[in-house]
Formats: sequence, C-alpha cells, structure tokens
Amino acid sequence: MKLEGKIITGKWNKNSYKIIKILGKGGVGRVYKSLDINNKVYYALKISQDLHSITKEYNMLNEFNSIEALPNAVELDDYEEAGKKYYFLVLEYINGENFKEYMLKKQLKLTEIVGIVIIVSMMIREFHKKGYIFGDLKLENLMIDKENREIKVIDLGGIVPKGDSIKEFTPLYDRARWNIGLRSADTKYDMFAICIMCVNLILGNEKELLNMTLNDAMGELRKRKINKKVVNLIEKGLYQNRIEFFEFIEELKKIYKTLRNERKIRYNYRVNLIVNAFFIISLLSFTIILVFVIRNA
Amino acid sequence: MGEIKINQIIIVTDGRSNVGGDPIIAAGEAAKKNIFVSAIGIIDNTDDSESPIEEVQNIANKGGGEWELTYIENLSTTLHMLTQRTVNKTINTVVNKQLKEIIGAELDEIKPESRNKFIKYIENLSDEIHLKCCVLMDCSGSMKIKINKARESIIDLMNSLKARKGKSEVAVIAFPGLNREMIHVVNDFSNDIELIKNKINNMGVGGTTPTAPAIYKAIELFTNKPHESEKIIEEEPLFNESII
Repeated sequence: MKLEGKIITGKWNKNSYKIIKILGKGGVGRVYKSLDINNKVYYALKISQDLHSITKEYNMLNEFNSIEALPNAVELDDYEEAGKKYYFLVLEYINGENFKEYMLKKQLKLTEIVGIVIIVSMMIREFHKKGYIFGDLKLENLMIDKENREIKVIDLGGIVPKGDSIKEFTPLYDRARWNIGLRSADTKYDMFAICIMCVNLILGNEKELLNMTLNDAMGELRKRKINKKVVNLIEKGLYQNRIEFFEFIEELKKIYKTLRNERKIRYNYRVNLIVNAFFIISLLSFTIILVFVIRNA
Repeated sequence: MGEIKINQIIIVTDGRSNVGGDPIIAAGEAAKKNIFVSAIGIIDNTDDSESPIEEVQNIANKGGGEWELTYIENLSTTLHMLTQRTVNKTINTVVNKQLKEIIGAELDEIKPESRNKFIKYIENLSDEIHLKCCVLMDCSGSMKIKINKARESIIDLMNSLKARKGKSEVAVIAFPGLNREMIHVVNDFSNDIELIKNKINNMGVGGTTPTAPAIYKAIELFTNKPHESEKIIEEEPLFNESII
C-alpha cells in the first residue's frame, strides 16, 4: 500500500490527514509525517494492520502522558482501503533524528552519554513502578528533538506486563541473544538493554559490536581511556549480578556528578594557571620598572 | 479458557521439496486437524533458482499459518516473531468469536477507545495459553553451512518460550534424517532446553528435501496416531543428492 500523497480520513472521528513522507518502518507498521487538513499541524501517523499493537501503544502513551520523554498521543482511529482494514495512531511530530543516525555523524562525550542514559533509565523506571517492562529499547527509537533539545522515546510497541515473556526485541539489545538470561519481562531485562545501549554509544560501531562476545565488548571498553566507574557499572549491569535497577540509576547519577565536577575542576585549574601567570608577570614587570625608576632617580 | 491449546508446525527450509509427496497437500491436512502450519524460507544473495518463496507461501496459506523469508543470521528473531504472530492470530480469532456471541460485534467494530480492556485480556491470554510448537528443520545438503545457526535458533526459540507463563513444548524433526531415512524425530515434545540442546547436536546434514513426509510425521506427534498414507511415501525412491 502506497500512502504518500494520499489523504486518509478516520472511520470514527472523521479527521483527515495528508500523508507527506515516510519516517520509519518497523516490524508492525509504518510511521508517516502527515498534515492535519483542518488545523494545518504536522503529526506523526503510525499505521498498521495489527489492531492489537496500535491500540496498546495508544493506551500506553495515554497512561504515561506525564512522562516528558514520550510524545503526546492525539487520537486513535481506523482506516479502510481496498477491502483491507488498517488501524492508525496520531502522535506529536518530532523534528529531529534518532540517535543511531546521530551517532554516525558525531561521537558523543562520556558525560553526554551518561546524561542520556540517566534520562532513559528514569523514564523506564516510571514504567517499572506501574508494573510494566519496556522491552524493546534501542537507539533507533531514541530521538533528539532539534527544536527543544529534548530526548524523546518513540516506540512503545515492546512494553509488556512484568512477569510475562518479551514479545518484541532487537537482537543487539536482547540479553537472551547474549546468553545472559531468558526473554522474560523483569527489570533486569531493561537494565541489560540500557547497558548495551551505553556500550554502543561509547564504542560507536554497532556492526562490530554485533560480532563481539560480551567479554570482547568489555575488553574494548577498557581499552578506551574512560572513567573506570562507568566501565565497572556497565559490567555489573550486563552480567546482572548484585545490582538492582534503582541502584543502577543511583550509581549513574553519582558518576554523572563526578564527571561534571571533573570538568569544572579541570576548567578551574586552567583559569587559576592563567591568573597566576598574569600575576607573576605583572609583579615581575612592576619590580623591573621600580628598579629602573630607583636607578634613574 | 484452559482448554484452548495452540498447535503450530514451523517449517524451516532453504529450498523446494523434491521427494516424498506434495507439502502443500500435507499442510492442508494438518490445518484440518487444527494444527497451523507456518513456514520460513531461508534466502541468500547468491542463487534464486532454488528459491523457496513460492512453496513457503503456499504451505502457509494452505496450512492456515504465517510465512516469512529471512537470512540465516536473522532466523532466531524470525522464529520468535512468527510464533508470536500465530499465537496472537489464534487468540484474536477466539476472542472475536466470543465477542460476536456476547455483544454481537467483533473487536474492530467497537469504538477504538473502548478496545483497551479486550486488548489487555488478549495479551494476558497469549502468555498463559498452552503452546505446542513442532519445528521441521531442513537438513538437506544445501543447509550444510547454515546448520549451526539453525541449531542456535531452535535453542533461542526455547529461550523465548521458557519465559512464558503458560506451558510451552517444542518438538524437532529433521528432514531428511540420518542413514538415508526420510525423516528423523530429533526430539518429541518437551520443555527441557538442556535435553533439546543435546539432541539437536545429532542433526546431520545431507540429502534430499522431503518436506511432506516431515509434515505428516509432525501431525503424528500432535495426534499420537500413525499417518495412514505412509505406504505412498515408502514407495518413492530416495536419491542421496551429492552434498554441496
């Protein structure tokens, strides 16, 4: 079904959207940039033949609409074409790019990476508190909003109740693929995905990471001269031992603070050096001038 | 709804059936016995002469299941996805039938905002339902370089199923079998990962592609009844193709 250029009208709410261009394609459906004919506002329109997945995502977005990192859900409706039924969901349009694309252009600094991971972890913790596991976390679904400089998470299709089995996953982020545990929905499943995401952002080469064992990846990480605490925390999170999700976040926050402070200290050190140098130079010149003045007097 | 059970056959093949009858007819027979037949075609970039696409589609259509084409590297994910889709489809059908009886409308005839509670019910059910899954693994000559990944993907499917709340059982049939047999039951239905791990290492590679006999054998495992037209299979000669 080719939708670009078409105007689709919802069966129930009768709102019409002009489909502009495709933004993304997933296992379940497609997302298009679209224009609301009535109020001339751009939205992201997610359409699929899977009623289940579209309805679930809409409900999740509504249930968690207080989380800032999630886009607003506008409406849910049906659309029929050529005897086939489609279900669609209208979302806030995010002008930006996902982190997988962003990563290819720019290597992020460690402090930035830790900052991003904290935002994502805290969002996921909100889901945990209400009894859900996020499931399918990946860089592709993490967007940077160019206008507001905010991070947005765009796909909630993988969310399942705690204790169920994981229904949607991406091999790179899936602990079962790395032989670390089952595909069961617990908080540590999400912690593993977060840690792999962190490794991916630091190493900056997803294809290579896919061919590594977990030990290889840790070895690569140690070769980079980065803060040891970050490396140790990632290792704990990946191997899932002796650390709970909330401890993981606490630890991350502490590290973030030290990283920021280190930068400040380095900055202060440099400023001090310059000030001191100036002081010594001016003192010296003052003495020299004084000596000249006294001699000539 | 404890009485519902999902029976699924998944055929994994990289070519066309070439001995032992018509797999599309066999898939139809399975469907009559409430066993869904899904099929995965393994493709590669090189040849298209032996493309499994048409047969894979026909088998799934006749067998009431789902189909997918994939590279061997993605077989694990595809096996998981296909199984999930079969489960969802089955449960949707059951729930829709019940809704029709109770409120006279199917799920998509209800206002979108009101579908939520049914979705939650379906989701819960899909994790709790008893699932029996029989994997038919193509072990013909052309699978030689792919068989390790194929083995891993079966173990990986077990990793997915083991996490479910409901009972999940997996059986594995290799076609052709060892020593010029058409088929070899690697493992009857079980939920023991370790047991299956050990047994699938015995899967050898080489020979023809007798897809239909494998389907009939799978039906036997599901129904515990021997297949009636077994004689026809035995009459056909079995050529041992050169191992590629």
